[in-house]
This record gives sequence, C-alpha cells and structure tokens, in this order.
Amino acid sequence: MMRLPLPWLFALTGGALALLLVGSLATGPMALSFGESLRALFAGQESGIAAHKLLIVQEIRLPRTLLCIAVGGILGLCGAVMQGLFRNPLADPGIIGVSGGAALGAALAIVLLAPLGQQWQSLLGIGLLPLLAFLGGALTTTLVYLLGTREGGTSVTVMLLAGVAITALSGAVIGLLTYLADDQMLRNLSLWQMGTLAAGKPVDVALALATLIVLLLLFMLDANPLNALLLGEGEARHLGVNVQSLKRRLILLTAAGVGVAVAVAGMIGFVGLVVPHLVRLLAGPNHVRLLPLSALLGAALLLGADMLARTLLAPAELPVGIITALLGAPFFIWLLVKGRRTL
Amino acid sequence: MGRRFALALSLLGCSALSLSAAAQERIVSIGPATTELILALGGEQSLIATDISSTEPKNLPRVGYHRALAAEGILSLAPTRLIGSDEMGPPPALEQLRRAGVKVDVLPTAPTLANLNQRIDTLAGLLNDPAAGTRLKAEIQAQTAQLAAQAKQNKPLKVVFLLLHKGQPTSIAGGNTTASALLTLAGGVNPVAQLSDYKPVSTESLIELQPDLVLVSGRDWQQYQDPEAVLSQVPALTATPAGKNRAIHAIDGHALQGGLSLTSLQQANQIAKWIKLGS
Repeated sequence: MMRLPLPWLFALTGGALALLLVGSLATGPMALSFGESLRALFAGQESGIAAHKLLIVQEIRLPRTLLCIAVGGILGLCGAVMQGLFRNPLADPGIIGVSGGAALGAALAIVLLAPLGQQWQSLLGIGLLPLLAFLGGALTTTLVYLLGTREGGTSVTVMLLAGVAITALSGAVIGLLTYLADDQMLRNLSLWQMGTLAAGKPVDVALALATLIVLLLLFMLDANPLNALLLGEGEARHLGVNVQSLKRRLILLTAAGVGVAVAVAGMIGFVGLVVPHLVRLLAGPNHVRLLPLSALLGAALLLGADMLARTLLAPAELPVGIITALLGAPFFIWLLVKGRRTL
Repeated sequence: MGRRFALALSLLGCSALSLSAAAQERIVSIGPATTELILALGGEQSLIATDISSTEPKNLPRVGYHRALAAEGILSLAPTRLIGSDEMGPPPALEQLRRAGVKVDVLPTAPTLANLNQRIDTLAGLLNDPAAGTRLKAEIQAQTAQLAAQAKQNKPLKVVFLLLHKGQPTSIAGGNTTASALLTLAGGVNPVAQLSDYKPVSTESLIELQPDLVLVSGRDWQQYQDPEAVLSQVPALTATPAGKNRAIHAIDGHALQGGLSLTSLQQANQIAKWIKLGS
C-alpha cells in the first residue's frame, strides 16, 4: 500500500476525527438540525433553546462522543503496543487475558452479586460491575504475566499461550455462571458482552479520557525502545534497552488501559486488532508514528461505529460491539487478502 | 387477543369522557404486562411506543429491550410519560429522561393478585380513569373467584411447570415464579415451591416428584402441544403419573413475563380445566 507523508497522515486522521466529532454531536434519533445542535452545545439555560434539547446535546451526545474518543483511542493504542511487544500482528489487547478476565468479573457481578449491586450503585458513582470487570482484567493479566515470567525473564511466547489458556479458563467459568443464571441475567450478560457507550456517566468519561492521555504520554516515552524490540529481544538488549522492565511496564499499562475501557463500555472487539494494522500499512512500523496515529484512528473508528449504532434502529439502539465486529472483521479479511504477499 | 381488544374497546366506550383528559398524555409503555394493562384500561390513544417484548399494538414504534433503553431515542418520540416494571433500565437513561421532563413511573412487579390490583390502580390513576380500574379489578375478582370455586371441587394435583430448551437442561419453576402463581390459582400444588426462580432439574428428581400434571413451555412451545414430543425429549416423565396419563400440556411462555397479567389469568383458567380433567 502507498505510504503517505507523515504530516498528511496526521492531518487526514485528525481531520476525520474532528469531522466525526462534530457529526456525532449533531447526529441522533432526535431530529435536531446541525446548527441547532452546535448552538445547544455552548448555550446556557437562559439561551431560549428548549431544555430537553440542551440536555440531549450536553448530557447525552457530548459525554457519549467523548467516551467514544477515549475508549476507541485506548483500544487502538493498546492494540499497537501489544502487537509491538509480541511482535505478532495477530495480537490484540485481549491476548494477555485482560478481556477474558474482565468478562469473568462482569459475569460474577451480574449473576452472583446482582442483589449486592443495588446497594453499590451510589458508592463512588462507580457500579459494582465496572469495578469487578476492571479487577477481573487486572487479576488475569497479573496471572498471565507471572506464568510467563521465570528467573531468566519474561517469555512472550509463554505469555501468549498462558493468555490463551487463561482466556479459555475464564470462558469456562463464564459458561458455568451462564448455566446458573436466569433469563434476565443471561440477557444482561450478553448485552454487556456486546458493548455499549450509551450509559457513560461524567465520572466514566473523565476516567477514560484521563487514562487515554496518561497512556499516550507513557507509551510515547517507550516508542523508541519498542522500535528496538522489533529487531528482536537480544538486539534490543544490545541497544541498551532494559527489555524486562519495558515488558512489565507495557503489560501493566495495557492491562490498566483495557481494563478501564472494558469497565466503562463493555466488550468492544476488533478496534484494537484492526486499527494498528491499518496504521502500519499507511505509516510504517515506526512506533513514534504508529502509537499516536493508532489512538487517533481508533477514536475515529469507534465514533463512526457508534453513530451507526445509535441511529440504525432508532428509537432503539444497537450494541456498538456488533457494529465494530461487522465492519472490522470483513475489513481485516480484506487487509489479509490484499497484504498476503507482504505479511 | 380478540377478547382482550373487545374488553379494551368496551371500556373505551364507557370511559370516553375521562379519556379525553388522558389523551393528552403521550405514553411509552415498557413490558408486555404493562402494555396489556394500559390497553385493557382503554389507554390505547395515549400510547405512542412500546418496548420490543410488547406484542400489541403492532403499529407502534418499539424502543428496544426494557433493560437497555436509549434516552435520546425515547425523547425523539416526544413522550410525556414512561411506564414500566421495576426491571426497566439502565438507571442513567431513566435519570436522563426524568431530567428532560418525562415522567417516569416504575411499577413494582410480583406474581401476586394483590400486586396486579395495585398495578391496575396505579395505571388507572395515571390514565385519569379510576372507573376503568375498578371495572377491570371487578372482572379479575370474578375470574379468580370462579377459579377458586372450581379449585375446591378438584383434587389438589401435583403440578410442575417445565421450561424445555433444545440442548439445554430442563428447568423447573420455583415458588416465586408467575408460572407457579398460575398453577396455584388454578388449584394445583407446586411440589417445588421451596425453590426460587427457574432451576435446572435432574431426571431423577423429576421422577421422584411424581407430578400428576406437567405444564411445559419454551421457545418452541407450539411443538410441545403433542405430549409425545415432550416425552421424547424428557423420557423420565413416562415414569410419572402425568406421563402415564399423557397429562402434559404446553402453554405460551410470553404470558409469563412480568408478573401476573390478564393473559396469564386466562391461562390459569385453562390450567384449572386440565386439573379438572385429571381429578
């Protein structure tokens, strides 16, 4: 594929994201004109715009748009880091077990702790389900990391296999929980696993945006060591990279990032897998470009998918994970076929 | 269905005056049980949308699954009121609707007659038509009295309610389910009343229960109208009185969602007839 000059790439993805951002604020089942939506965004109570329009733009569309950008950015970024760390184009953020563990945490919250959840709602403004999802992701990742680590250091191959095994184990326990669940719980569980950005509270949005910014800064510091790692672990060591501490840092940060994304939005697949691929085809493997571009493109992709999710079935709504998988999987196949000779 | 509409229409005629006040409301009804009651109370003119599980009225927009409502989608229909059971959500969406000036009414739902009457009272109040509520309650009272009278004459048979799903374990209805409430109203005895919700049941315990009458439902409930189809799927039933007498009947599971409803009361009637056959 033709590689574009770098300023062009940033201008294109940044421009697409900006367009989608404005579009997202002006799109929804409620028929608000473009101008009206934007006026409502900055208007106060005394502006003469109907209160329910202000509420829709300021409290439904704006938080949702910001959450899309944050979650999409985190997923794209973490996907790029995982593919770099594992030197494997098939890696996605789920490969270290964080998605499986988070799903297990959520299933526990929905099936076993449902009565407890009622009382937890108010505490810290963070529900039991997101909390358990985050903890589940963090715990399984730690386990995968420990399994992959011996005195000689961490083997990414062992970690990759351990990730697969732990994900399978989480799947089995989730199966057991589904067996015990009643119909309502089953439906809640399957809806959660399809992901949604609809219920984003201000605290979720703030948490996700802060996570994205911190991750982007920290990962950028490791962009050059990641480049060195592309040559191989031994070579990176000779170039002066502390490979072991780099791995530990990247895995923990990715687990935290994906944990936050899953906790606030449920399971949203394919963004972390497809986005870094696409960016690599457009911009090459240099992580100094790959990381910020993956964040930008991930945000744009999820924003676009969510705009479809909330308008296709209006006044009802589709889970956004369905859209990302429906768009992402065929696109990924197209990439595979097109790039078969170069992979 | 036809009977329900006839009832709704007759109530509509009687209460045309008070209805004009309620007609200004624009109501989104969540859950089949709620929608059915609103229709029976003559509130069809005020209904502008329902959730995806409500089957009637067919021509209205559907706002999705009752646990995953979308605030903006509902607001785009310009409703004045959202009515549904305590299962609807998610809470943030309901909160956004409230703040946008939509009145959100949550009706606590349980499979008891008292709860059904309570829901009718609340809904009749919301529709500004208490007379329709009184009439509907009287009708239900007459139905249940008839059921109770019939139940006295019948033997208290052991009745179990099974949920059959291909490839999944058979589940049995515990004491707090709508199915259990129905078979009790019809004069039957639920031998597993100590269980709560639907629980997987083993072949052995099914034989040990020795039910006199078996009610089944499930996604493909129509095909279970033939007792042989049920027996081939749950062979253990042949070793029970119900299996030997082919006292196996299928009922439509849709009426069992969301507490006792008008349709489910009709089913209690049907169950009472089956119990009578077996006594």
